[in-house]
Amino acid sequence: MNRRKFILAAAKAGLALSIPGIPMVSKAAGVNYDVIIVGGGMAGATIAKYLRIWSNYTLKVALIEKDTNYTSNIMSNEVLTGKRTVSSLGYAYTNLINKYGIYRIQATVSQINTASQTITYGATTLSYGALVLATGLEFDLWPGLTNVSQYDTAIPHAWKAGPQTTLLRNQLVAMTAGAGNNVVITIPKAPYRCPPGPYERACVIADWLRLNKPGSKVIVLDENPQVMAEKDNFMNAFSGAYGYTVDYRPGVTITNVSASPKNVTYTRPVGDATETVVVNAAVLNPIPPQRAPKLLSDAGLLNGGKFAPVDPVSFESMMEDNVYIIGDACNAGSIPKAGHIANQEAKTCASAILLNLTGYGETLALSPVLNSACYTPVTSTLATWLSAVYQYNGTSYVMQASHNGGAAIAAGSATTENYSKMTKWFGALMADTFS
Amino acid sequence: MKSFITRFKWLLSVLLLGVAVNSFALTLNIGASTTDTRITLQRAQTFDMNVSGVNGTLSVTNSNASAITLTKISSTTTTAVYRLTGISTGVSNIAFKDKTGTVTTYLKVPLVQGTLDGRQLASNCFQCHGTNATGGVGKLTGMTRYEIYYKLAEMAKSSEYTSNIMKAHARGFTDSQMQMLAAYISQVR
Repeated sequence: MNRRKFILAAAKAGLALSIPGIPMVSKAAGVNYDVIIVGGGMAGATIAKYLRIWSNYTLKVALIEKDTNYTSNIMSNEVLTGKRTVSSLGYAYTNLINKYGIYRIQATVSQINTASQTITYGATTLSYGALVLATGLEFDLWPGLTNVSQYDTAIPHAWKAGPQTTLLRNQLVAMTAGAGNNVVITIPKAPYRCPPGPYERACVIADWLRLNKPGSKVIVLDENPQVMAEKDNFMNAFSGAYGYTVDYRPGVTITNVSASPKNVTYTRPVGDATETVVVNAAVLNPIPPQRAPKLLSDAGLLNGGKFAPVDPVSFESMMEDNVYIIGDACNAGSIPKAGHIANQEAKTCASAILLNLTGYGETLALSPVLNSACYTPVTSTLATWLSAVYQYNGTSYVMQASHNGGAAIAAGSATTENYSKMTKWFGALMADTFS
Repeated sequence: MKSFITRFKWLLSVLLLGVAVNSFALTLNIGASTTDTRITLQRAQTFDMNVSGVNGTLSVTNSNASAITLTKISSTTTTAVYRLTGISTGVSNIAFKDKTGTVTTYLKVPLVQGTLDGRQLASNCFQCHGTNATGGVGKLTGMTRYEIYYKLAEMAKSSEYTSNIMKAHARGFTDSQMQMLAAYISQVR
């Protein structure tokens, strides 16, 4: 009797399946880990936890992450205004290890070999039954920049919370107030991480400048034709609803970013002509174009694009078997790159992996729903929110926003009640992911 | 590079087998129905099957009593109610036969705990209401499936959906999805 048949017999005999040391996996027999997860952010931490819970703690799951702790990108704009600290946004892997029994490996994966179903870090090679890539993003150089270290030392993008967030905060505090001393934020063409995030950042910085750096303003240079999320709420804020204004310039093409002196050059069509404008910055926050990491590209998972295409029902790679990509690195059609829905992608993918590994996948229908939610501060006391629920369209094989005629729903107004609920939402989301 | 079938195996399973059903009760009208049904039950979960339109003697066969048990709750000359209970992992075909014909229901008790669709749907609640809906902004456990479902369905109909994020969210689920996720949350441990 092989292991799988034994487990089925045990199940029929009414035995509990959570017997320690008896994995229920058959297809993955003989591997180092049933599931290896690369990346310990919102998506990676969530899938580690739920694979364990939903397998009755039978699957052997490894989480490979180079950093000691995760720092939340969500709420990190409030570090810029001094409402929160970077350390308060830190989340340890302690619960995943001790409470859920995850094998945590602190390392940087250097190679994926999908043919042999192995990954390599340092001199170690490990085999997997299923591989989950929750790697997050890499940041491109804007034209004119020569090295990503310029983001670390001179002009922080702070689009991954951490030292760059602190640097940007320090630059804001140190800037000289007054007309002409402005904060310049660039926004790359979508898709990028957190659709409302750049606009939220513009709002909370503008609100902070109003009180702390009178005369200075925020200038937003957006490569997109319009605000990409919560348009009405943000345009309302930009035009003065909350006591500040933001100089918002959509539809630009950024042709040069200079770290010293700090400025951005863009072109934009004006009538039949094209204007070229140089914008000087006291503080320059060039949120860069983004892509899936080179690790995924080297493994042949990108199919020539910037992100890894997946089947949105399972988040399995369209390119390789037994490889799943969740979170910001995947291309799942219209699904946004954001932490709350990355958590849901992880749960959806966990269900698919459990079915695939245990051999029941072929006989159960899956019609997942994925929800996206976020609260967005627009001042230090007011917030809005955005809700979207995605349903699978079995005719076109894509996930589609299912309510409000296919669009997301935004809060009707910014309120203090929303701000208070934002804090609770953030706490609950991080607990579902890391606790 | 993957084969077409490998890439779209999830989709194929949907097309070939239809959508897994887990509503509160199902009515089979033997005389009128020619459609077979497929139901996923988890261990210890019960499901009431209402049979109507019975013509003559109703006979019921259960191909795998170790997976699913079947108990008659009530009957009249033209109707019957059977309660199905998931016992252990496996599949069973339950056939209801009368003078007119036969309707077969295919049942599965999955290895993975939890009715899959209900669990995936319900897990959408966990980001805010806590893992297994036990906390966060407010726990949902302790409510019956009917309480959860009716509350959700009521919110989904509200016109004030831009003033309350749950009213907005509820609009994104179909009625049967709300029933499935309510059923899951009401029994999750």
